[in-house]
Amino acid sequence: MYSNELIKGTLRTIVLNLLADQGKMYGYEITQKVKELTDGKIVITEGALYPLLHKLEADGLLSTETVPMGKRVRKYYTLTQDGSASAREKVAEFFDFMKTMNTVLRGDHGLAFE
Amino acid sequence: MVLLSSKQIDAIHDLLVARGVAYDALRMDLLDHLCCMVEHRMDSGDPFERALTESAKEFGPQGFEKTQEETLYLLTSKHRKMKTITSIFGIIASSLTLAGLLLKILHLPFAGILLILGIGGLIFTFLPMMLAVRLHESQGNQAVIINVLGVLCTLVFLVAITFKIMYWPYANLLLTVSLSALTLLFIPAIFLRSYKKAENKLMSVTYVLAVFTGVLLLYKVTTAEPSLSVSNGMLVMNQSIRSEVENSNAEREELMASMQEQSPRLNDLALATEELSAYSEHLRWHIIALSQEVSADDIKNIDLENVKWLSSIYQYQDRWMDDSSEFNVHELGEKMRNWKSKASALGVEDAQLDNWFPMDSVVVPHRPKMAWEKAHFSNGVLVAVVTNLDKISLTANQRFLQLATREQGRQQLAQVINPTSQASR
Repeated sequence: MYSNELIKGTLRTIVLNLLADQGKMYGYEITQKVKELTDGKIVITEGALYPLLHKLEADGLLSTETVPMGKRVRKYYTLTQDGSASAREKVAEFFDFMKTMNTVLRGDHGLAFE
Repeated sequence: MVLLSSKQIDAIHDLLVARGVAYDALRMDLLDHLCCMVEHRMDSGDPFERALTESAKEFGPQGFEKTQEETLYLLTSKHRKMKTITSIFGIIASSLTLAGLLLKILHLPFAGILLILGIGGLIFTFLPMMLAVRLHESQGNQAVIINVLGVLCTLVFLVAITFKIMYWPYANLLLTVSLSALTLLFIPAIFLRSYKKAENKLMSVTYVLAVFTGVLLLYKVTTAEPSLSVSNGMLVMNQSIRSEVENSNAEREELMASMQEQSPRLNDLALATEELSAYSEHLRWHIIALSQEVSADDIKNIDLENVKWLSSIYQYQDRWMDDSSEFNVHELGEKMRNWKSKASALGVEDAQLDNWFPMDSVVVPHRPKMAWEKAHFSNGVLVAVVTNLDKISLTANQRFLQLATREQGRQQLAQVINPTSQASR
């Protein structure tokens, strides 16, 4: 499992990209999917996921759809148009970031790596 | 795959409520999430009770509350930023206003510009932003109406105060509008709301009465008219100068008529005196008419009791400071200079003339030195300007009488010394 700081900084990117891939998802599904995709290396806690989902919804990046399931209600999250754009941006930014980190960490004045 | 029964779902719901998850939208998510976790555990053989306890444990001891806190914090972050920015603007604008007021009280420079910046900042940045913040927070139409009314009243009140401080026109009108709106609209709205809500109804009545009294006192103080005794005193003083002017006018005419032999130079001065006195009289009524907003034809019929002798003439001054208007102070200055040149021809020294009719810049308290016209005719109150004019008439007449008497004496002396000579000096 990675450190909290790393996950915190990438959570938004992970969630947006996942929704761009899968279409609509509910909260529990997102946590399970991430666990599955990363072989349990990245675990998204509920305490971080739901505040983010609500914030993204308030900012107009996500829309929701509720489906009654007996006595409980399941809330599905989907990207809006703004959300899709933001997902692309975030992913592009992250790849760029990785490239930069690569240079920094492997560079002559950086730390020895590998 | 296990599906939870309604009863089990209710049990989980109760757990969330007990753990303090009050925000409905979040509780809906967490309920489904917890249900999924419990079902997952039950699939691997755990009984419901244990599955629930274990699942809840995964959230940590204060996990639910923290999640809710974090959610609400993120949702209100924009609003918090807005509030902070609004406060910063408020502090800057208020500080500028306070600094301006302080400089104004101490009669230091830059007071006006700081006041305008400060009050402008309050009006154009702080108040609209505060209204936006308050509207975001307020629930229900009543709260919206109260907030809008409150901000509008404050806005007009600030504009009125600015006008008052800068001696711009319509300050009192604006003040009346803002304080009336406050009294007739804002206070009743506040009263209705607090009366409905308050446990102690008497308290809200007292509160509203206190605010109402405060507003009335504020109105009284800011629009205070000068007292009647001051006004009457000033008027009586002016009237005594007026009667002197009339006396000296009559004396001058009498003297000119009685003189058998008139020197042409004395005659010139008599004409100049008459002209100056008449012009000053016209200008006098012109200024009274303009400052009382009465037409020039009606002014002589106006009841002197109805003239506001202590009203400021600042806002009307353009109409007689300007060369192009029918009667103006530059023309008056020309007539005075003409009088001086005629007196000079009679042998009065320049220093003496300047002493009689000083036209140099004037030192005015708390202001830079002012040009003669400005100091006498664009500043202060009506009765002062009128008295200045009357004094000019009076000086011209009295000095003429003095010079004419001297001239008469010379003629008589010349006749005694040389009875055959008919020439004047």
